[in-house]
Amino acid sequence: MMEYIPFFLLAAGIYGLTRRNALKVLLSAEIISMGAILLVAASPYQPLVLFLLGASAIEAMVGFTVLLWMYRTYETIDLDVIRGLKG
Amino acid sequence: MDLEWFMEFLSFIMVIVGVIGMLESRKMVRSIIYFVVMIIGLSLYLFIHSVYYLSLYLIVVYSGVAMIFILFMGMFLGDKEMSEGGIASSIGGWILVGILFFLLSGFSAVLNFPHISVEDVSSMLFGRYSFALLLLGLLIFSALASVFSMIEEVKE
Repeated sequence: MMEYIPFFLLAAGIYGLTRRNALKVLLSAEIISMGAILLVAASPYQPLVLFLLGASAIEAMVGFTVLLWMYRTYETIDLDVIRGLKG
Repeated sequence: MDLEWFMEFLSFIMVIVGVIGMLESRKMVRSIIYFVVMIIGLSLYLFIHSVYYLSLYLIVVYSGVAMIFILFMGMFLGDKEMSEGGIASSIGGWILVGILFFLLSGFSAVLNFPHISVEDVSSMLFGRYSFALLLLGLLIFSALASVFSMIEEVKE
């Protein structure tokens, strides 16, 4: 039963990327990386897990830095309101 | 019912409840707490299966250091409620999650095909198709670079 958890984490993380709250989007990206880590941890290529762990930790830190910048610039983290990339 | 089965079932329930609660709770701090519950469930599962270093890493890094940072972020941004649409859209989203789960697990979760397991999928991805994955990564990287160049052009 538990061996399907990586697939559930990947699917739920992809769904979470469609949320409006930027914090939830970042946590969903973390969930996706958790699913990938579990998938690799069950494989014969376990040393790759170390790289994935480092990448996910760096991704979290950079993501929350971007979130802080977003809040300071737009005073909201609602992704429906933010139109920064539209130019 | 032995203890190992019970602990595995407990970790399974913690992961499921943590993910659903994180995505569906309206308050940010609550969703962060649900995220912690999910991490603790995952580390419990890994500890049962003797993957000690990964289990300890998850507890130390996510439930320890990063969680303090995320909770600080949540409290800094204010514990505002943000509605994510009605119940209908939420149910539709979880139906999509079910379809994705069904596709990702190669129909094995429902039809119980014994020849497709997590080990098989990961071995295929990182063994036979590693060159294809490398090409995919290069493609995504070039797409990222082109997006940045497009943004710069729009600014000019």
